[in-house]
Amino acid sequence: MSPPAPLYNDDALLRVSDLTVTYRPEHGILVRGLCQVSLAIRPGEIVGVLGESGSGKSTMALAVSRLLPAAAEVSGGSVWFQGVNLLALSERAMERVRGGRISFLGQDPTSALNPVLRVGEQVRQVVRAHSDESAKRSRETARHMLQQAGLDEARHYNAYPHQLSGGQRQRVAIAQALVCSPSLLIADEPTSLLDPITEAGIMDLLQRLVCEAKTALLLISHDPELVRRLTARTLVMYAGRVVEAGPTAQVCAFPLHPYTSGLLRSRPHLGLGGKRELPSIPGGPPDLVRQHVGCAFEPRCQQRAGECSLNDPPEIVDVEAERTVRCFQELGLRDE
Amino acid sequence: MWRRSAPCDASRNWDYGMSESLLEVRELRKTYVKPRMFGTGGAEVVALRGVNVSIARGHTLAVVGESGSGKSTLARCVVQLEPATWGQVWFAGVELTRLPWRQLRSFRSRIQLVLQGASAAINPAFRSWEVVAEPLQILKRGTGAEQKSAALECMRQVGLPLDLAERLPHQLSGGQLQRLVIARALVLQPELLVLDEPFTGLDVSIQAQIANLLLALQRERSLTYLLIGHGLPMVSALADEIAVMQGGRIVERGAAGSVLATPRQGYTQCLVSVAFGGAAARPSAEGSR
Amino acid sequence: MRFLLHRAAQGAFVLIAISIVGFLLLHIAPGEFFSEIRLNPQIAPATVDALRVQYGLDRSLPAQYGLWLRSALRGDFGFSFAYNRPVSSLLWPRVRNTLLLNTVALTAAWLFALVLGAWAAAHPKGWADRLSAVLTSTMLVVPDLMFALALLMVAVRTRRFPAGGMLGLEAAEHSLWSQAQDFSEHLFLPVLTIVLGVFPILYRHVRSSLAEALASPFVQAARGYGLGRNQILFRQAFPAAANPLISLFGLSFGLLLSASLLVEVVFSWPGLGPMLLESILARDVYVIVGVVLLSAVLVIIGNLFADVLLYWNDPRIRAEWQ
Repeated sequence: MSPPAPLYNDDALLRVSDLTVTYRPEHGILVRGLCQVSLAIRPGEIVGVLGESGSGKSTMALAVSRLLPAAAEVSGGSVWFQGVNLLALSERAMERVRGGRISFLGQDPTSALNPVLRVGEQVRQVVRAHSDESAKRSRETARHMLQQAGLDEARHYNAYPHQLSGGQRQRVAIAQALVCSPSLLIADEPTSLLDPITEAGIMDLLQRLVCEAKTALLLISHDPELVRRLTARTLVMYAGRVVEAGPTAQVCAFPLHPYTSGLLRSRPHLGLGGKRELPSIPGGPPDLVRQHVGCAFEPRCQQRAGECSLNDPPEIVDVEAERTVRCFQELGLRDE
Repeated sequence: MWRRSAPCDASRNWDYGMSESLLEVRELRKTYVKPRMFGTGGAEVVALRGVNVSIARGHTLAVVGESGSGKSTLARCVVQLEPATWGQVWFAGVELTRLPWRQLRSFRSRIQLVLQGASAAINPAFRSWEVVAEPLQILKRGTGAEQKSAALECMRQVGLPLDLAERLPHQLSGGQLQRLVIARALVLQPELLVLDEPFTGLDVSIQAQIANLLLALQRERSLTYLLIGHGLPMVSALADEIAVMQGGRIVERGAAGSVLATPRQGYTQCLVSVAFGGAAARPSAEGSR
Repeated sequence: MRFLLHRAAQGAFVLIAISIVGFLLLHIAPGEFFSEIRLNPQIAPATVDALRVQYGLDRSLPAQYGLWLRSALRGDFGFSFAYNRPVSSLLWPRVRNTLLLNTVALTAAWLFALVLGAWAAAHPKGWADRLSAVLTSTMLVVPDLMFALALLMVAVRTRRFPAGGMLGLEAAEHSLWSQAQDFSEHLFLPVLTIVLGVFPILYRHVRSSLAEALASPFVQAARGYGLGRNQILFRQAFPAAANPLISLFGLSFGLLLSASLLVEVVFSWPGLGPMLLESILARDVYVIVGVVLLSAVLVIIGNLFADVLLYWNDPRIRAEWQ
């Protein structure tokens, strides 16, 4: 199913169309990674991808920057970035794109930094990889970026990763990601391993930096609150498919897919009462190995009907509201 | 918006009658000494500086704070996994810190520790039911068959389907592993559960399930919980009282509702405002976080 | 600095222990220097006994050791019965030759191991990787002695290389350049033998450390920032993989020294090897202890060097010591 034209303008920075990724581990069984995922990001936009383990959100991030492990292969679809088909590029050309135009920020800042190199040096290496600046100039650039990331560059430029706290390490990773002014930053759960106050600081920093530099941000998270606060548009993923998409405020206020509404409700809000039972989605994450007939969410769905277990639900698009949902029982779309 | 007041030792204002509280911790201190290569002595790390808490039977006390504030140390000292440098831990009217090791054993089955995630807490070579039955095996209670049926019963109570009993831990999902660890803690029929960050690393929908499970278990078995956590939202659904730790001390404590509605201490205010979606209002120096 | 002192103290302790063990082992072995003379009926037993008293061999073991230790600390390592010279004057030129051989072999072996190992790690499962795996497996299985004898045979048969020794007979009469040429011709085969014996081990470790570093999360993150392959290999992977390799470097000193003792005997290279062999056969006590100790010193210095490199390379070890 081709995406309808008005929803995806030609000025999209990144356009992913019907991307399908399968994992083929050495012992044969195919595992579904992504199934016909489409998304578009405009320049400077902040888009969120909401999903839990097994939803394929990380796979998509890796697929866009072509960092998938060897066992994964892209079996369908396309990825267009600034008019260039990323899937057709050579590895050399892709290296130039990464870091310079599309940057990746991961979840674990501790393992993302080389333990035997100073952090300033690690930022500087990114600068050197993308420009021909002299050693002195690149050092200046690196220092400046560390300062922008909220670190005291005089003290921290020559520090080693083990001398920094978790939040500081993530700031170094952010400096590395943004030092070459990429047009798109993909952040895969950047704060899930940090405590709440540090998390707030890091998200503030990210928000400020991407707004100042007009960098587009693809924020991937399993925390609906985070996505709600920061993003303009949201995609919700389940079992490798996009099950709902639309402007964040709309998706959070009026979720159309049962999974989205279940997810939003299971996150407790302060001030809504004390000790209480939380509404939760029964069951566990989907098993991606077995070939599933019908909707992948059906076993856990409160609104399921007969047809849900027989066929894959189609994608329903509301062009005006810029929303899509993939469900037979969507909870009341406007044109019904 | 929030009034800033001087840091007060809120713990002293709390007054539980001795007969009501199941667990009482008095002036607990813990100092770690990092040994030097040469000579004696070394760098001292003070993890706990005089902590006072008490929990009534059937209640839940949530302790929140940043990493390094001493919460995990508190959990370990309460369960007597580590000896405290100073202070007392009273459980059901008996002073645990003074008991010799052999007598402590009979108390171990009444206080259980649930650790975060499974990678640290489960022997990967055991099958699931064996993991749950392990405490019974260690304490030599019952025959092999009785142990297995007790383990399976606990697994049922935490909502694990029986066909998972023969699986190995690496074949279970994160939420299932957390349930398994809880089942193992329940098999000895404890009265007090100390849970160290039970929600970290789990998906949001699974967190809600685990929280509901804990509530149900508390109702059915009149359990008492000491819950250690990072953030406020999750504990708000579970806690009767909340204590906030910072730098090894309890800086604020009170009934959950009032702490969340009117936090008095700076750090608590920060936590609450962050949980409500405000910016990190803490005036920390740039880069110190 | 404390680190250095600590390691040096450890080294000294090891040396003393080795000297004690050496002494003990010698006296457990049957016979002594004068055993053979005793068998000669023409020499009166009284003479032998007098000789023994003169050389101090009639004292108790601890007394002998005590005497030796005292003079050793003054730099006098004893007397060789066979050569009738002080041990030190006997051993220093030999040490020089052994060092020469070992240094060249060490450099060559490590150079090859680093280059080939890096290539194999950067192109896993490529043809170079597979070929090297097969070759090194074979080389590991073949004993050093076989390599030595095979190459010696090659030298003799083809007459391209000298069959032993360090310098040609008329070497001193020729120019410096032809002396150097002559020297390197003599050097080539012994070095090749040692390298063939040691290279497989080094190569495998280099390859596996580098492969592990290349698979680590921070290298993945670096790829995500667009760092090129070469930059990743040299600027990220090598420093991270250096730790085990530096430790191996320290170990390789010992490895090489043992190999070279054997090779020196086969190729008649005038180093510590042939000296050790002769003195063992002759039960020349102080020479044996001297050689063993010198070998130990070389190994310890090598390890010390490696420790310093480790300290310099890894900030985490520095942090532990501060």
